[in-house]
Amino acid sequence: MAYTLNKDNMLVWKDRPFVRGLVKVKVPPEDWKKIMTTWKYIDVEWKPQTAWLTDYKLLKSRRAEERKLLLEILRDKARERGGLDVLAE
Amino acid sequence: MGQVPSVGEVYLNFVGKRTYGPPLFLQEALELGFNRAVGNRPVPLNSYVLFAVWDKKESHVYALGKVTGYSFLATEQEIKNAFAMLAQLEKQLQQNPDPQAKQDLQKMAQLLAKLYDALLGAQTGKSGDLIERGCGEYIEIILDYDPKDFYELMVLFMRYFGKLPSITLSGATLWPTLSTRTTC
Repeated sequence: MAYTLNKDNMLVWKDRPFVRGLVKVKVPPEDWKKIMTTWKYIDVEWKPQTAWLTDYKLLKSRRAEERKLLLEILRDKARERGGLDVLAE
Repeated sequence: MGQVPSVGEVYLNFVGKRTYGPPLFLQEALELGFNRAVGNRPVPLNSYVLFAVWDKKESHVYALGKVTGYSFLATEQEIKNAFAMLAQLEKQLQQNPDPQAKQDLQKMAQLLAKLYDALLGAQTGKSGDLIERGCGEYIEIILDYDPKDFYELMVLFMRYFGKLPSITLSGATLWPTLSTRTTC
């Protein structure tokens, strides 16, 4: 996975308004180049598998405190596993 | 960074900025893997997904993931409903026999039966875990089911029913995942 939280390094697509789901796109070479040269790359290999989810609760809205708590939980988990702390960046 | 991902398909997916902005999405995706709704669109394994936010003027693309598996929301009843859809199709084919369709129907039935077996196996093996996610909580059960079979099942269903069965897309959810596990 590759990513950036630096706004200057994000790709800016003016002709791509919000849509739900996934849209198939063609990425210009210059954008790939920008990704490769300015984004962080994490080589995570996950074993392909199929998951079945049940008892799923989709929350329509989330309070700021809940978000903060969730971020802390995920950050602690990442630290325990020696992973990246995105929030610290 | 590795090679330019010139092989395979690339998709764009928007992440809700208000409840699920880049930091939360990344923190969660890095820990648990990403999991996105794909709508009625089967997305092949090894495709790439670009994640973006929309600020009412332009799209800002900030992350790239690779599809390595699938997850979905379902109940046993929904899988049974999918079987019922196949039975309906079989009736139609009897009136207008098409060798290719019959072959596809047989394949779909096989894949669906295999999925149902995998589900029952996971349930009896008590392999579920409760995982806290950004959009709520759910019990996730990893099935012993080849993602390639899952993709083939999706494609065949789209071809004959014009939509994915609820077993693979309930509400918001057949999600290609970086990790294979995962959310909203």
